[in-house]
Amino acid sequence: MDALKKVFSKGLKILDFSKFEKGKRIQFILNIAAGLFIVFIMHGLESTRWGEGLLNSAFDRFIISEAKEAAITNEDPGELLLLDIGYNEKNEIKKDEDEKTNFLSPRDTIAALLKMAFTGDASVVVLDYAFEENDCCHPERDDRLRKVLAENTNQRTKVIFPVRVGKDEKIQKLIFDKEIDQNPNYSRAIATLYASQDDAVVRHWKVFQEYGDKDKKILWSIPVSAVALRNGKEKDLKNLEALMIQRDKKIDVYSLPIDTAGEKKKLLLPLRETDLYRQRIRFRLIPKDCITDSAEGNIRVITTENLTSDRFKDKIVIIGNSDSEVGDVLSTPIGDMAGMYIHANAIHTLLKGYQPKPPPWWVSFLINLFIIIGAAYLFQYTETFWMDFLVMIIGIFGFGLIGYYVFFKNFGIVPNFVFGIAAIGYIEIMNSLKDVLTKNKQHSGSIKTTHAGKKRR
Amino acid sequence: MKTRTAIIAVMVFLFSALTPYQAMAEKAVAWIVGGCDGCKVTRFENGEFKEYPAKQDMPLFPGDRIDKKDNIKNVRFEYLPYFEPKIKDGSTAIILNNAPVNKDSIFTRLANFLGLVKSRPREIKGTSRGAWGHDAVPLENATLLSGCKITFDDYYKRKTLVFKELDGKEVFSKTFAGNDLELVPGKIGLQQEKMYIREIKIGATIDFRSTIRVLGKEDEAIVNNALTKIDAKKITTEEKILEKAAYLQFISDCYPDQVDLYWFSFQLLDKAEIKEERLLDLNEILLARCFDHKTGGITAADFALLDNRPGCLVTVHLKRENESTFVAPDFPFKSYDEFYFYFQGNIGGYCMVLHENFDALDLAFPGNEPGYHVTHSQGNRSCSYRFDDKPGIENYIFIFSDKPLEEMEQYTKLSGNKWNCGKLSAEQRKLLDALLKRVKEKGQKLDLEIMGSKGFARAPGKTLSGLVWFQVALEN
Repeated sequence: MDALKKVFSKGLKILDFSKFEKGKRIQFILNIAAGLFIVFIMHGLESTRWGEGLLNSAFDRFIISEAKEAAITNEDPGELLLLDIGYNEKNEIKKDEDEKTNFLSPRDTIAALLKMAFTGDASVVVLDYAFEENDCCHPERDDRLRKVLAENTNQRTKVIFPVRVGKDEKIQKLIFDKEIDQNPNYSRAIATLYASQDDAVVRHWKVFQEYGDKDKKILWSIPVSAVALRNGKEKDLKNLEALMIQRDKKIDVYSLPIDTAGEKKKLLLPLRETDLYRQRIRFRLIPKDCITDSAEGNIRVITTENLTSDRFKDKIVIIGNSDSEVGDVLSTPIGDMAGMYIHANAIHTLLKGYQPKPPPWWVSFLINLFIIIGAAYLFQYTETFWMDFLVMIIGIFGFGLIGYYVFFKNFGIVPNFVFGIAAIGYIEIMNSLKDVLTKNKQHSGSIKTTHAGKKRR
Repeated sequence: MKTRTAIIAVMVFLFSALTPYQAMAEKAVAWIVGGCDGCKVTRFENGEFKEYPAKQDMPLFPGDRIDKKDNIKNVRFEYLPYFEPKIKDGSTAIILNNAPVNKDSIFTRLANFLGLVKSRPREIKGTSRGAWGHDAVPLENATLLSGCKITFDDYYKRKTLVFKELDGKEVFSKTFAGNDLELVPGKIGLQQEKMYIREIKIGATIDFRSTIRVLGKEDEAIVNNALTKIDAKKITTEEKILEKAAYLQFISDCYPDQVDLYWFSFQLLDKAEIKEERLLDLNEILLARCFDHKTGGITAADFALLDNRPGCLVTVHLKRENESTFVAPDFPFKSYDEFYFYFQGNIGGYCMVLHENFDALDLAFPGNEPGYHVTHSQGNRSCSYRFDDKPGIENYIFIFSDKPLEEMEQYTKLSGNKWNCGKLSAEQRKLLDALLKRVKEKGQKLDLEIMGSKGFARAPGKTLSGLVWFQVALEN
């Protein structure tokens, strides 16, 4: 006990900066002030284009890192079943070059898969196709899909059709509008994703879009619709829609309780256009050729030969086409990816509760304050330029890794605490560098100067 | 000493941080998803082969052998890309790894992580215009050589190629089967020094059409002589090909209005598949020049489309991500595409372009130029625009007049002779509204026809008087 008391009082003595010699004391206070100043400036800049870019690069590193891990550990897609027609079609082309004409209009293939999904009792089917135009060359394929949609009697499987909202605030027409309107299990959703202005990289999903000139309505996005329909939350979305249109009450984030494989989770819907933090996609379902180390990714190839209806049971099925000729391949932080896989990752992020959350401002402030004071003390005991430099590097990398492994992986939070340590490190290094240079000058006969308050070798 | 220890500690720390997955166990790459009754899996584990009875959803690893006596084809697998089960005979399948190997060393990774490696520029597919257009090197505005064979790419398979004279008279038509994608212009009735319309049809529907020219007799002789001289040189065959390709590009760059033989340069390089290492860089440069060569837009030869009648040629300069090119007004634009109009008329007079926005009109031309007077064959550029994320149609009204327009004179006074693409005042908008109303009521409307990467509108008669207008609708 006495030993503990001794250690404690020794610790307190070390921390008592009033006991520092004058120069060190001034440096200590200056360091804290500089750290706080830079942190405040950085927080202020966070909402600017520059800040957004910086935040994106920090998040991108984390997201790439976890994508690599997910590829190696074969992340479980859970309730998602991804059917990539592009892959099937390509294999077919390999067999018969002349069958190339089938390639971009596979509505008969979609019809066959949809029929299997109905028979197999899938939970939700997302058709990642814009059915705005008739099949140019094979109208019979449209008829086949129309027939499957019209004759479906399955009461459980919900089907989501992507639509666009035009400049006239109206929903663009689809060739299956009649069938969609007749079946309450068929619904429309927007397929829009957010790409950053600077680099056109897709990083976020979109929550909703308003449409209708006078009579405003809400169209939810594919990830929101898929997760809500999977959990039978249509009514909740309708109620929220009414609240949003009335605009009586300002809602920033709406929390929708969901159930994923028996686990209770919350789907957080940020309703302010600028709140992108929670809309960031965590890419853990990796298609092939995204990651160099694991070119095979972690998404199983499901071909028409190995697929049976029992695979669809209770699944959220995404039917799409990953072929680049379809024109739906977009840049993401982990590489180029077809739209169907981006939607899959967005849904996966929501289902698994991986939505990033911003730390409350006071938590952020306390973390920063703690780091800055800690760093200011630490730099008092580093005596050379190299030591300052190393402490700064270790601090930034160390806190970066803590940020990833502790905060981001577990809570989806990226605490911004490297600015403080970098700021103090910068001042210390500049001071040390000045000392090193003046020392050299002194050796060559220049006027002798020393840095006040710091002991130098 | 302390510092050195610290440096080593940092290196060890970074090394371990950068390779967190090196020690992880091999991952499953395939799964049995059905038909596995009576099946066994043989796996090499800890230096020996072990046998396991196959089960539904059983994970499989590279090298695993699956045996089923009756028929292995009845077993259904799901697998990761590059790990397809290879069926050896009727009863055995082996999980093979065909994944590309990553050869990055730990130092490359470290350097990459710290940003010390010079990053390669982002690659843009050489045939990107193939996605925007049809040919690897587009043939629009190209000049064919009467006696030189031209090879078409796979896009033409099962499609019909038609050559027509400018008045619409068909000269040649052929539906390609797939193994016959070659033609010699002189042998199919195309005459030297003439311009033709090239149509590509799917069944009876025209998928694409553009103009194409055949080089004159003298010019063709100059080109052939130069190529023959290169052939006579004592250099390797590959060097000859590169020299010829470079010459064809050079002559096209020197006389852009008369000669465009980039297609031929590409054809030579594409067929040759250069292998000599010292020539590879040059080969790449020349190929890249073929892809970068802009073939669209408006050339002097295109005025032939107007058939000596008053008219205007319009093309859209499109910028998408890092690429830019000229496209036709009926091009399927995407959200965030940036564009401006480039147009040339064969008439002198007054011209303005109005942009029909949803809530109000604005002036797309003149943009930053002072005044709205245009002269014969003068190239004009509109304000730049960018599509937003909402799909829809945007209308632009091109108005021509032989006399100054009252509304525009007032507009000019209000602007203080300063023209810009910025916001308009309420009074300026009123003037534009009045102008548009008058034009639609009293002006003569012309039709816009699409030809390759441009549209053209021409008056029915040989002269033009009063107000004429045509509409260009862009859709995203």
